[in-house]
Amino acid sequence: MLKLVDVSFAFGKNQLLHHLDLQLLPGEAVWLQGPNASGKTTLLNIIATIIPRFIHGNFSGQVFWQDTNLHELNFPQIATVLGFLRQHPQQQLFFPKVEQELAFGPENLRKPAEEILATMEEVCNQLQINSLLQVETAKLSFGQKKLVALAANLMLKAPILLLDEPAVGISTNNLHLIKQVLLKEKERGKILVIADHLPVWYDLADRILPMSELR
Amino acid sequence: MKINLRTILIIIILLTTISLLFQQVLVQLYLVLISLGLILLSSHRKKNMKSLQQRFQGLIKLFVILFLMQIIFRNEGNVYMEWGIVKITDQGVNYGLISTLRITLIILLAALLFQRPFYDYLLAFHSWHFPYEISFLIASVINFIPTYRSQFLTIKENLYLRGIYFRKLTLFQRFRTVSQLIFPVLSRALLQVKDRAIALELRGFRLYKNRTFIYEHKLAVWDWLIQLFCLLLLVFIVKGQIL
Repeated sequence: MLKLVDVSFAFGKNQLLHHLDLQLLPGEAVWLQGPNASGKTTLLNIIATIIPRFIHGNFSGQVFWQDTNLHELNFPQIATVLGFLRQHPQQQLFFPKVEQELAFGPENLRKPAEEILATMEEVCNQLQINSLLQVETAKLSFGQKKLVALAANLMLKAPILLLDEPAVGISTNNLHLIKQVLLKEKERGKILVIADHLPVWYDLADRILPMSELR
Repeated sequence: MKINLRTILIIIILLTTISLLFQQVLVQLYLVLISLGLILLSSHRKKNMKSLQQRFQGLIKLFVILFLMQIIFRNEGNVYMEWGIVKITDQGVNYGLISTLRITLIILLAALLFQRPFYDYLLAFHSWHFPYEISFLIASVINFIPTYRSQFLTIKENLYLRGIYFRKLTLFQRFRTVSQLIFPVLSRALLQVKDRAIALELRGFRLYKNRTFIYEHKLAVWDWLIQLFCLLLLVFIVKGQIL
């Protein structure tokens, strides 16, 4: 279970979250709804512990996965707990080729090579990006970069997946594909936290959290 | 024939050592020719040769200036010609040629390095047992130079769209414009560093000291032979210079 306990956060006088308690069970998908600058990304950053580790403000509260306080982990250990598709996919791509990009996460987690290749095949089949494996990441379109960044996060096989504006810049077909993949991940027991201002996640989300209610 | 990056790196160490130790025009010329040969041997030669040619065309002025400076400011040796305080001596011409050839060598070796994919560096450093973090940092620098170059080109295109034609500017105006462009590019790059560092660690970077590598670059027989030859030659040259 992912548990946020009494989480508050403010940038100066701008209170974005006020004494938030949230519990998410395996296989549950929550959609953080709200306009730009309403605190959606902030909440994802708090779950990923980027706040308060790297982004400073008035933060209080705790984030637990099972019985582990995520703030007590080393930051790279977070990769074993969650994958985080951030808003700008180009900032998450480091390698010249898609194949190398996808292998990077599980290589860092010391997964055996055979397992990495098998997962890569599965993830690429799901997202239909097999043909991109040998393509240079710099030459991908924005939408393709987003698919690759999502695939790179799925490669981690973490129990939680955070998605920041996943539908932005994505074609209708690819959005449909992403939804199918996420639905499958949900059925496998993954917790999904989706932050998006686009009204496209009604069919996937079990819960909708309007950010205006969290202030 | 695809030469392994490790072999290339050893050859580069050898060539730069020789270039530093020997102050003869002929030696420098041979080194330049060897480097050119290496570039020709490496893959994607057509594309690389074209970009190399463009780079050299852009640098011709610099070569000429460098050559003239050495000629003007080095007055030692036998005088060929003399106009007032300006003397052209054999040593001046010699140093002018050596400096120009050295710069050419540096550009060729850099081209040789930059044409190799970033991942090859990770594998090469890994097989030399470098810590992964350090290998990644070095390889990232090599990887991001083309990224910054493309950012620079984008800015140049934007300037063009606003009516500033870079090619029509004089050398001084170009220098002034470039110096003004460097700071926005660098500040943007620095701002991205933090985000990229976070994104890296979110994918488990630095979680363990050792990691899995799903790819491997094995050395071919010619790689072993070239490396052995280069190392022996390096030892022989350095020993000969010291003793």
